Amino acid sequence: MTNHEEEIKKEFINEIKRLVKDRSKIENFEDIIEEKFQQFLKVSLEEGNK
Amino acid sequence: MSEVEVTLENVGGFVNKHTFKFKAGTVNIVEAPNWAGKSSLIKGITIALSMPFGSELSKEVAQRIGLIRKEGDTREPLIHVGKKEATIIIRRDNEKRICLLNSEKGYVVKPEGDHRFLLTSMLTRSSEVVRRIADGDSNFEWILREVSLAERYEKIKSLFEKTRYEISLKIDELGRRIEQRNRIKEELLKLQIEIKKAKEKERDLNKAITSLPRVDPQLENRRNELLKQISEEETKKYSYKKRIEQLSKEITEIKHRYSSAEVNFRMLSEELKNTENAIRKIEAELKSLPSEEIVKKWELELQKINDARERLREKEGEIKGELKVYEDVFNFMQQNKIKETKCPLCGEGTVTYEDINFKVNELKARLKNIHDEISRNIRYRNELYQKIRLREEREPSLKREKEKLSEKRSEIAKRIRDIKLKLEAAQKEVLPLQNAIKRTKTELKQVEDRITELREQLKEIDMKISEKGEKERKLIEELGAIREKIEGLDRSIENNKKVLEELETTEINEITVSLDIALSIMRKWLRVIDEVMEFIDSEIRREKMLAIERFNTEVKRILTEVGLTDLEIWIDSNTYNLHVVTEGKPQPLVSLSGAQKHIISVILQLALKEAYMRDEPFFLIDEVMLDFHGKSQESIMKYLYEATKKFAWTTIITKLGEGKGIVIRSLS
Repeated sequence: MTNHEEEIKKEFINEIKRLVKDRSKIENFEDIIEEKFQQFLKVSLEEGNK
Repeated sequence: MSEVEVTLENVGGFVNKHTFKFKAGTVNIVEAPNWAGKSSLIKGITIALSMPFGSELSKEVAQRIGLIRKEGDTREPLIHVGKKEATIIIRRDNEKRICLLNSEKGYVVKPEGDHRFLLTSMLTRSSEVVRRIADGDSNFEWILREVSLAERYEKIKSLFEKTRYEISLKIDELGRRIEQRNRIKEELLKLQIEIKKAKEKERDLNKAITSLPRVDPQLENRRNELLKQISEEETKKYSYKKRIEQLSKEITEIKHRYSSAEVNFRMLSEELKNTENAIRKIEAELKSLPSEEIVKKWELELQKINDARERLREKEGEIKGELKVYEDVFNFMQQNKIKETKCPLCGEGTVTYEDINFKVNELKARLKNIHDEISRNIRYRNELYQKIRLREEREPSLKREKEKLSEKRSEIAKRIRDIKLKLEAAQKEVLPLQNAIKRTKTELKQVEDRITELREQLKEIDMKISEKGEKERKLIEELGAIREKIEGLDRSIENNKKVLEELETTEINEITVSLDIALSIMRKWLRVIDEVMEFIDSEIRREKMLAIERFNTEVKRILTEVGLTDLEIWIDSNTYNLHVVTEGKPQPLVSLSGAQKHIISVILQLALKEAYMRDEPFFLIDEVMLDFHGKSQESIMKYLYEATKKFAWTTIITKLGEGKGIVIRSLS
């Protein structure tokens, strides 16, 4: 896993920590996963092209 | 001491507004008889403090105590029967909580409640703790999940599990596609090796064909010469056939031109024949007519017949006269019945009646003979007369007819002569053509014989060079087969390349990515998800551990404070099972007595309230739950009272009263 990818993972965890404190937002967590995957995909493709 | 005000409008059994006042920081006893509205009051407070029900368990409890209606529920509804809306208002110090219930639109609670209230702040027979202890269910993981953040983490985890499953499917699919792609690559490689070999084989065959020994040039020249000659003779044969065809066509045209004359000739010939036959017939008939001499003879005979008939007539007259005489006599004798008389002719002698009668009959017979003879005479005369007349009439008509037919015959003969001239002219035209055909046919026969002879020679030469030809044929056949194979391999390679091209990439979020990169990204993403899930799992464990620790601490403290020192209760951090030890002996929940279960339920509920919802001021208790005897009840009530005071709770204990309405008093 590259640094960028590692960074996304950490962001993900922080997001989760933040969300468990706000129940209402948990329902939309699927969208957050999708959003994070987009970021991950973008970074991975950029890394791969270097 | 501050007050807490609860206003209910159209809630349960209450119609219109009803306000109840409770003291904060103390235990409030609510006394009322059955059907006075105790349950409606408790339900009203509970729903306002616990809505919305955020977990499956809280929904289940809410249904059980009648906060949420389910199908077939016969209990009193939360909104008064006949009303559509209900309102609950809770005022405490400067805080105000409003809960609006609408049978069609649902509910609105401001600020929102906390579903954990149902699990921690109610001690009734419907409470989850009481129910589980009564059932002997020792698994207490549920409470840890509900009261800590573990439940939220678990929700997030379930979303991650779904994502993880989808990623795994994608990875599997990519794996399968890569496998398929690799198989096709291998196949392609094999095909390329095979085509290379086939092309080498093709080169070898070409070389082998080129290097075959040459045929004797003299034979080849002779063969070519023969082929040339055959071709020339074939050309001649063709031209002769064409010539014959042309001549036949010309003859046909001439014959066609004279075809009507030919037909006329045949018809006239037939007519001439018929006419001649008719003339011959007439001549025969003429010849058969009687000659003049015979006719003269017949005429003389006729004269004689006439004379004889005259004589017979005379004789007839005579006999008739004589007969007349005799008949008259006979009639006279008969009428007069005379038997004898004198001879009527001579007047002499005697004649009898019989003699007369005999004479009459004799004369009649003679007369008849004469008549017969006359008839014969007449017939004969008629015959002769007829013959003579026939000859006189027939001969001239026959002669006339013969004359006519003779004229016709001459005319036909003349026409036939004319037509014959025409046909002879046609024959003159056709004859040279027929001769030409005959000549050409002879020439054609010669050419055909020549061709046969040349072909025989060619066959002999071909046989001589066939050995070399056979080898070449086989090589060429082999070359054809190998070229076909090369074409087939080329097609397979192209098809595989096309499939390979399609298999090389995939789409991730509408971005086209190569299979290997896609697989690598998805695997890394799966690793990220797995690591995040590991974090979530650790958080769930940590949350549960903290909850257990807090719960166990509270239970231990309460047990000590209420003086139940021979009772130990705790949740195991590994199994999440509730353990009960009395007087040093572990007790399975199912083995506990009803009273023991009762006391343990109360202790646990107090611990849950203190551990997890200490800041929520309402604590609702059904007096029945405190209905146990001895020191335990006294010490627990004392503890409850102290805790209520300490944490400024508004503890409400409902009690069956004997008055008419609801009476609220605080416990001193």
